[in-house]
Formats: sequence, structure tokens, C-alpha cells
Amino acid sequence: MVLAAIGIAAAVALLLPTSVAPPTRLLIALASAQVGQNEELFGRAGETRGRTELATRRKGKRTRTAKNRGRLVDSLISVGALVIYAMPVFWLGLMLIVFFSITLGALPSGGMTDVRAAPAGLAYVADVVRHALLPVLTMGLFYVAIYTRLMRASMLEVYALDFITTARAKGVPERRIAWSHAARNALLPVVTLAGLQFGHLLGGSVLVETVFGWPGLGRLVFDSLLQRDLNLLLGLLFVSSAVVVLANLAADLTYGLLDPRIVHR
Amino acid sequence: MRSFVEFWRRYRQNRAAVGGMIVLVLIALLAILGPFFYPVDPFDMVGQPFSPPLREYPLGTDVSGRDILAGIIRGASVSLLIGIVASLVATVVGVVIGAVAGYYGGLVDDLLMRTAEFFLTIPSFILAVVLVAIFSPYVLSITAAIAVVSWPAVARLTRGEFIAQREREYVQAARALGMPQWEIILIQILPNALPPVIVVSTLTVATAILTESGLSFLGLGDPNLVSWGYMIGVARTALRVAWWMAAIPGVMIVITVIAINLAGEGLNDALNPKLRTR
Repeated sequence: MVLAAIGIAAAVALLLPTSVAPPTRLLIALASAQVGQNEELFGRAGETRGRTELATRRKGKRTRTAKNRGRLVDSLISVGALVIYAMPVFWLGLMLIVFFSITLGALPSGGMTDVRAAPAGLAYVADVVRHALLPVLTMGLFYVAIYTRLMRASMLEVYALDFITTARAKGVPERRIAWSHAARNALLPVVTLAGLQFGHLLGGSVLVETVFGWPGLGRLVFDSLLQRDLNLLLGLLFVSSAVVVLANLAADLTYGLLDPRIVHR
Repeated sequence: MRSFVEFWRRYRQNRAAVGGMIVLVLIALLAILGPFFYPVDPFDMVGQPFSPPLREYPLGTDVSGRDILAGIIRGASVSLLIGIVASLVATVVGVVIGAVAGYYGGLVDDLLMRTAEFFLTIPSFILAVVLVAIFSPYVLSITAAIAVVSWPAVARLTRGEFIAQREREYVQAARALGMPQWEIILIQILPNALPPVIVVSTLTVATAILTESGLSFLGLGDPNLVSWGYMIGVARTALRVAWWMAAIPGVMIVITVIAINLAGEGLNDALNPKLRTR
């Protein structure tokens, strides 16, 4: 599991555009590795890949919108984030099914594997990935919206600080200011929120897994509740609380990477 | 009155917020006046099932031939009521606990904040589902469950504000004058700590509406009331043949939540003028 996470981290680090400063790149890579680990805790290897991709993509997007405040890009991304943020996550899932499964017929509408064929090996992996695409997109989009809004506000706050003016006065290129000066500092609240929300993934997944018939932990919570299986329910709540604690620890350790002034003793 | 005029002058500058407020007023009017102008029982089978919008019925009928427009109208009042009441309860509880924790600090603070963190470690939606399932789903238990999962955020914010304010000169002056502690908390600090709390509790209404729709989508809504989430849950079974049935209530939720968010941002601008230039 750890090996897989390191592998993902390395792959992400190589794939990121060179415009991202190396420390930030390391950070994103580490963050995605964290996504990988926690996801596997939840037993959803299929989702890991998609979520990691989203995690890397959304960061670029967030930074861009604050940099271009008040311009068309900003308005478009802000409105888009607001609309997605306002959607009930199960409804977004249903609408994605309507579009991708019913209208286009391109993707399966539910389940984890194709029940008609029982593929093995790589074909099995491909089958699971195909089934996981829509659930991953649904949950991913929701979190993209949250982090976009937070990162935008955070970037604007950092841009008002004096050290940005200093950097401009020194003649640091605007792109470098945006990524390695502003974005790095603006990431701190985002990391805090991400740490808090990892455990809450389970909550959102109850709805998403219900919509997509995905046999995951979220659905298990709901079923255990309906069948009054309290031992199972307590176990699940315990696991999710443990994930929250671990994710918060990871967030705390990440602060040190982002801001060298924060030292862990 | 003067302060209200001043508030409105600032609020008005955010055009999106004014738009959000107008939409909210329209939805509230729909919820209040709708049943009088469109007196159709949302549980009544009025016609053929699966009738598409703009034929016999303005928004069509659902899988059991119930009028969707009637459901939307009744659902508006359920969503708004549960959202607003839950947010109010959460705000009051959160402000009281946060104020006490922030003002006194020390052991009281530790005790209260550890309790709040206990609620924060359990995924809020799952906690709400568990509570509603235990106390059988009806309006009161749903509202209470949403309030229970929403108060810790308000409490943490209020606590932070109180910690920032409690050592200020005006508080020290009040203490030196011999003002009782509850008066310092209530009359001196609270008005200064409230603006960000008001903004957050506005946004809590939006979250509460989303949570309520999720609960009733799972079948944990009040069985005697139509709500938007319930309508989506019913329409889900017919997604392949009648997508609009699920789309219409969802669009209503999206519009309401967007409007509340925009209004909340406007409140933020109007109540925290320092931040407006950002």
C-alpha cells in the first residue's frame, strides 16, 4: 500500500508541469500520496487514480483564478465552482448518469463490475475503472468546488500582504510570485480543510454509493444502520474517526513542508 | 434605523448578493403563497403518471401521477423551514458554547472544545443519518439532527472571536468598572463577535438544506411531507424514462443554495467593511 502510494507520488511529481516550483510539486505529490493511502483504507483502489488526477489538476485551476481576479477566467471559474458547490452531490450523480449512461450510453450507470462478464486480470481492472469513473467524477467535482472557493479566497488574502509587494519590487517574475510566493502560503488553510474533510469523505460517499450502487464503506454504514447492526456501525465510525485523526496529523506535518518557520518538535 | 440604512447601502454594492436576496424572497413567496394559488395536494394522484412538463400539468406528474409543481411548492416551505430553524438552533447553541469557552478559557474551554471536536471527527452526514434513524424521521428530529451536526463550526468561530476580543481595552474597562461577567459577555463582547457568526449561520442554512435533501433522498424524510430530496429519490427509479422528474427538484435546490450563498457573501461584505476591498 505504501509502495503504491510512493509510486503514485513519483508519477505525479514527474507529470506536473515545470511551471510549478519544486517544493510545491513535492507537496502536491505528497498530498496525492495521502489521497492514495486513505482511499485504499476505504478499499476503493479504483477511485484512487481518478482522485489523484483531480487533485493535481484542481490546484492549478484554483491558483489561476485568484491571479486573474475580476477577469473573465475568474468569473467563469468562480461561478462554476459556486454552481457545483450548490448541487446536492446525489443529484449531480444522477444528472451525470442521465448524460453519460442514458443519453450517450458511454459508461455504466451502477455497480462495481459488469455482472454479465467476469473478466480477470487487467480486463478486470479496466472494468472496475470504467465503473468507478462516474462516482469518482461526482465526488471529485464536489471537492474541486470547495477547494477552488477556499483557495481563491486564500490567494486573494495572501496577495494583499507586504511580501508580495516586496517580491514585485525586487522584480520577481509574476508567474513565480503567483506559484512559489503566493500559492505556497495560501495553501495552508486548504491543507487544514483537507485534513478535516478526509474523514467526511465517508459521509458524502453514503449518497454517491447509493446513487451508483457501489458496494463501498459508505453504503455499508447505511445498510448496517438499517439492519441495526450496531457493532458494524461502531466499527465503521471508529475507522472513520481514526482516518480523521491521521489526516489531521498529515495536515500538521504538511504545514512544516509548506512553511519552514513551522517547526515540529 | 440609521444603521440599517447604512447596512443596506453597503449590501447593495454587491450586485450578486442583491440578486440572491431577490431570488430568496421569490422562493419564500412561493412557499408561503403557493399553496393558496395552486391548491393541489402533492400526495394526490391527479392524473396519468409520467406526464412530461407543459402538457396537462405545468411540471408534469411523477411515477404515481402526483403533480410535480404541487410538490415543488410544498417542498419549498419544508426545505426553507428546516434549513432556517436548524441553522438558528445551531447558531444559538454554538454561540453560547463558543462564547463561554472563549471567554473563560482554561478547563471550561478544553472541555467544551473537546466535545465540539468529538462531533467534528464523525462525518456530519453520517451522524445526521444515525440520529434521524434512531429518533424516527419526522420534521422535529430531522431539524434537531441537522442542528446537532452544525453547531460545532459556529462554536469554534465564536470562540475564536471571543479569544481575540477578551483582552481588549474596552473589556478591561468594563471589568474595572465592576460589570458582571454575563453582562460583559452579552452586552460588550457579543455584538463585536457577531458579524462573522451571522455570515456563517447564513451559509449553514444552505448546508442544512443540502443535508435535508440528502436525508430525504435516502428515505429518511418526514413521511407526511413532500420535500425536494424525497422527490429526487422517487424519480430516481424512473431516471431512464423521465429524467426531468429528478432534474426539476434538483434545480430548485441548486437555485436556493446559490441564492443563500450569494446573500451570505453580501452580508459578509456589508458586515465586515474592512475586508471588502479584497
